[in-house]
Amino acid sequence: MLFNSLEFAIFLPIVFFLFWALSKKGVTAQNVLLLGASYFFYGWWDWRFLSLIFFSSLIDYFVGLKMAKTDEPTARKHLLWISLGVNLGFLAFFKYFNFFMDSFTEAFTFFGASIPANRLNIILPVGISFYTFQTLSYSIDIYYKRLQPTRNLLAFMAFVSFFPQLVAGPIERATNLLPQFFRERKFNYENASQGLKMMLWGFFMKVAVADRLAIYVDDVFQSPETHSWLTLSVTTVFFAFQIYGDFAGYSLIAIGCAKLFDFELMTNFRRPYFATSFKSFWGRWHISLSTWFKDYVYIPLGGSRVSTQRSSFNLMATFIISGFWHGANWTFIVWGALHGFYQILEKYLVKGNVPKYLMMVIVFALTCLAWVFFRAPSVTDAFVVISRILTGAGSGLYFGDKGIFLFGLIALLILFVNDYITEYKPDLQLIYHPQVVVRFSAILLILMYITALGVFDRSQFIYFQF
Amino acid sequence: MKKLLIKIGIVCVAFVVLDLVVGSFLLNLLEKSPDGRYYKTRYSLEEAQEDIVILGSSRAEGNYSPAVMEESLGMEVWNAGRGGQGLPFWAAMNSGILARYTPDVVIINVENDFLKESVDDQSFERAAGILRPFYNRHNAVKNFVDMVSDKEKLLLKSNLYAFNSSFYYMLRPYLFEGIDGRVEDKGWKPLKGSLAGKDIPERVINEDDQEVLDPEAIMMFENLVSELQDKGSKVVLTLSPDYNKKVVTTPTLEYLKSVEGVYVLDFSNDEYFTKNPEFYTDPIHLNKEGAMEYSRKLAQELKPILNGSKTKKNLAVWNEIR
Repeated sequence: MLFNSLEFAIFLPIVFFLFWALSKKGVTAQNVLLLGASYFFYGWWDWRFLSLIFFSSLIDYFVGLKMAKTDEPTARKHLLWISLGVNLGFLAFFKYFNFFMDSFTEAFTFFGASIPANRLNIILPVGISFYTFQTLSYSIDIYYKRLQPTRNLLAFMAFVSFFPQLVAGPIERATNLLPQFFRERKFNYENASQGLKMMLWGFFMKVAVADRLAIYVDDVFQSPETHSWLTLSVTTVFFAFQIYGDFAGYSLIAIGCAKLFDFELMTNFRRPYFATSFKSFWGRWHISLSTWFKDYVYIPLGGSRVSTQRSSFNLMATFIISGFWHGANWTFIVWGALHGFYQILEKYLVKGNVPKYLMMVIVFALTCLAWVFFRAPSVTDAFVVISRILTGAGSGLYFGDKGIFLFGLIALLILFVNDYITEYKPDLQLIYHPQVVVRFSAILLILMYITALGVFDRSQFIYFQF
Repeated sequence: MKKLLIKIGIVCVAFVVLDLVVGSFLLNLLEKSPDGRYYKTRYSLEEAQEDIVILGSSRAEGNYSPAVMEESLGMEVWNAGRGGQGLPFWAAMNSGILARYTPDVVIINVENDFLKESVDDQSFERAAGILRPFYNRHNAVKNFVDMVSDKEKLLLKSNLYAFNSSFYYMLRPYLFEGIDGRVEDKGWKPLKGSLAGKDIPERVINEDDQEVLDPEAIMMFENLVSELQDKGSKVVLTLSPDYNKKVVTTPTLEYLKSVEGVYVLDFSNDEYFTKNPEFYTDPIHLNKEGAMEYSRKLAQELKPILNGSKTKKNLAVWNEIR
């Protein structure tokens, strides 16, 4: 089920009222409801893949319990391998099998040999990269004794499948989210109101910004070789805001939705394009994933407390894996490698000697450059875009449908101004303004903007494919 | 909880009121639109009484001058063509027009591959983008927009949503008179520019794979034609010329040979047009001069059809005559 669907508009109020109606029956009754609602939410897309979530949850639940019962390092390690094997095995099969087969075939072709391509017709289960990482963190935390396993299977399964963040995050840690399935929930007006406002702004980011910009971006990316450097530059900037609006919008809806049930999810985006360094960018972009990779890949590899070369290797490896997590395509690997390269470069070259505003522009420009690989269907296509931009190929600016271009630009500017205010003048935020008339008017204006200028026919969220 | 529900209620009521007020304002703007695409759509659906109506995409909108045709034929002509639109829009407009009156002749400017393109969600959405403001006024439009998605019925309860994304093209004629076509041009949008001096290599189209035709497009086209025939309108399919392009055959043309009861006027290999760069603004659109010349020639070809001296022919027979 999609957040921006009619089904969800019916589903959410029903679950909301049932949830609070059950508050007197206790936490367990509410957890049963949340589990049922979450499985229904996911099963609406394809009920067959519920078995994957169910199996993954069971494995990690029992692995966690077993691990806590033994101090024997080898046994604990074997148990961890079971969890890693099952979760990463699912990912490898559903997400990466065809990529590996294609790369294998291409490698043989490159060396002059020819082997038949054995692709499988596999559907990628929505959100598999998110919930497998969430359950993996549970097992790893127990392995490192940072967390005690839960005996409550219901709460654990509800934690793994919690519908607001099931399909596209934020990727929650058990240490933060799991205890919330045990505590008593209290309805709080301020919390619910804030949740609804976050959802409203999230919808704005998705349907008014991301989906509007996507129409122009998709149009240009259909044949980038025919467009000028200026058009491709504008398209790249548009895509930077499209993916931000799409993913940060989804995260906001998820966080706001969880708030309606008195759950606190972690912040996933903090105005990333105001970052003045790449380190800071990754502290603002997809925070739940970047901290996951930091905690479970970068630090176990040795982090920065090793030699300079080793530390650089750790950074590069972490970002390449992160790129690969995003998708089974070389474009994502190059995107990850570029960000690894940026971080290494920054670490050794930039010593506070560049003005902050200049750094902000540099970080944004280089991030946009990397986004070209993220958006292009192949590395070759990405190079076409970049070479045309860098060589100043062609002339003029293609507008496509001028209405779409204009309203895409307006939506982008509204998002930018809002982010600027939130970053530098938080007291001026209109939907959180102390004066009720201002708050009320802002909410109405956003609702009207979404109705009048939102795109309602491009329903898929980009990050669902990861 | 009560406080939250009350506040949600207040926001909802305020939204409904604003939706009504702003929606009415926009409707007023639409009705008073001096020219442009919304004026044209409204006129087509609500006022047109012309004897001849032209349907099609940008090539219909730019290639057919009603004034030139009227002068030659002595009949009233209205160009209802719309750039960027395909079969779904033509079908909806056609149903909307026929619900009110029956033109003597409907000319549909088709492309030699128009039944190859699938009638996908995007072509429906593009058409709905123009038609939504007319949702509550015309059953034909309503039936069509409801087909776009199951959400439309509910979303169109909002007056504001009916104008979703249409503001730019609705407001533009108020700021720049005639930018989307002048009222006196009767739906024609003449184009400027010329291909003179530009080197455009010849293209030869020769495809014969019938399998590639889209069944949904065929069905929609057949419904459109039979709807017109049932009402008693003569149906003329026209193929405009492209610069330096020769069309041997295509699956669409092969299919059209089997369509009974329509007249087909095929100019795609008329070298008077296809070899004259002065007539084109780009390889597929005639400029003002080219469109006027084309309209003159088309009118000559239409005369025997209008006076009944030419019996209904399918494409194969028509080509033999030519």
